[in-house]
Amino acid sequence: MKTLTILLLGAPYSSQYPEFAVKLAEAALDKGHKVNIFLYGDGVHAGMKGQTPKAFYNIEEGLRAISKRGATVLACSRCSAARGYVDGEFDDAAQRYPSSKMIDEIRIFSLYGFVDFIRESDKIITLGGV
Amino acid sequence: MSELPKKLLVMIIHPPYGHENAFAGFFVAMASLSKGLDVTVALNCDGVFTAVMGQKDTEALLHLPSIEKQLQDIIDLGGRIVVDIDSAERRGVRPEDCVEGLEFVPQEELAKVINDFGELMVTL
Amino acid sequence: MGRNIMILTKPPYGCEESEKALRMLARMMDQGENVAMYIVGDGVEIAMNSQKGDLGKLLTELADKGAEIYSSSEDMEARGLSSDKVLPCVKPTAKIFEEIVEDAMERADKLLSC
Repeated sequence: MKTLTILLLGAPYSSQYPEFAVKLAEAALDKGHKVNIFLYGDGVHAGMKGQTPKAFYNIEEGLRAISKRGATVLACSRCSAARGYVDGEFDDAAQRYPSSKMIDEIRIFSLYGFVDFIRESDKIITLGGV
Repeated sequence: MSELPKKLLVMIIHPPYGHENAFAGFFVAMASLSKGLDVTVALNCDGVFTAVMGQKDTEALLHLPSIEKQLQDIIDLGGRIVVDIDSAERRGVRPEDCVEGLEFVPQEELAKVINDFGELMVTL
Repeated sequence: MGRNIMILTKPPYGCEESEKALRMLARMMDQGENVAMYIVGDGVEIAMNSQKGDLGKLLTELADKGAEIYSSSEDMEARGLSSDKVLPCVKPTAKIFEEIVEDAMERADKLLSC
């Protein structure tokens, strides 16, 4: 078992990148690997609750599904706060910032969460950005 | 047995300020350096523009922290910054226009840097 | 001699990155590395065979030197890139994500994304 980390920079629906992230995660989970995803910049929007795309692959459902299979998904706290996702101070016990807008499977956490991912990874894939 | 620090290469391909990707990349570099990783930053394509010195009053003008300061912080923390000469020359970015402490490298050397230090890579 | 793989996601010509990525892979091959490319999304447009720009030729040269080039058949079909429109050195696959994972986690030394 190895560890794959995906850095997702792109928002859902405006590009294929979030869908690629979910599909890569699924393929890695199928092979028994550990999967981490860090949502960074506009990538944090991939975790918004209540997505109802018409005729697009539903990213919210994709992220929920891979989380249920054991993928760890974090969203950058600084980027999330800037975009209106953070409801309060860091919850030490839960190790997350509270959010009513982010799906529960995703923890809003500092960039050091990504550094921890880096330290345990065998490979990193960056997806998205302009 | 002491573990050698993991090597991370952060490749910056976006110009400063207009889009957050350059910042985002430098934050990753700094956070990783502060946690003991061996970090190399490569400025490639439009990323070479981040190296131009004299970036003034970014907080006052753009409400953004200074990328020039981020570069300096990375150097002070022991990170290495290489600049792709081809990207720089196309754009008219000369070494004398840039922050000190950067290494301007031809593509062959950049390929070697990736091979030697790109155990893990992120591209922003 | 190691194995370097690159995921290509961007189209040719509109931005510099695809060209820089291919030239970097050429340098790596000159330095003795094995190279494989996995092309997904808009990146599949790089594979069109009648292009007058340089990237088609560059892709073919890389393949002639031994680079492996795979592309997402799903992304190609969606964009109307039937096999007659595509460079023969590019191998479409319906399982590109599975193949990226297998290569990345089991074989590749370095993974670059563009």
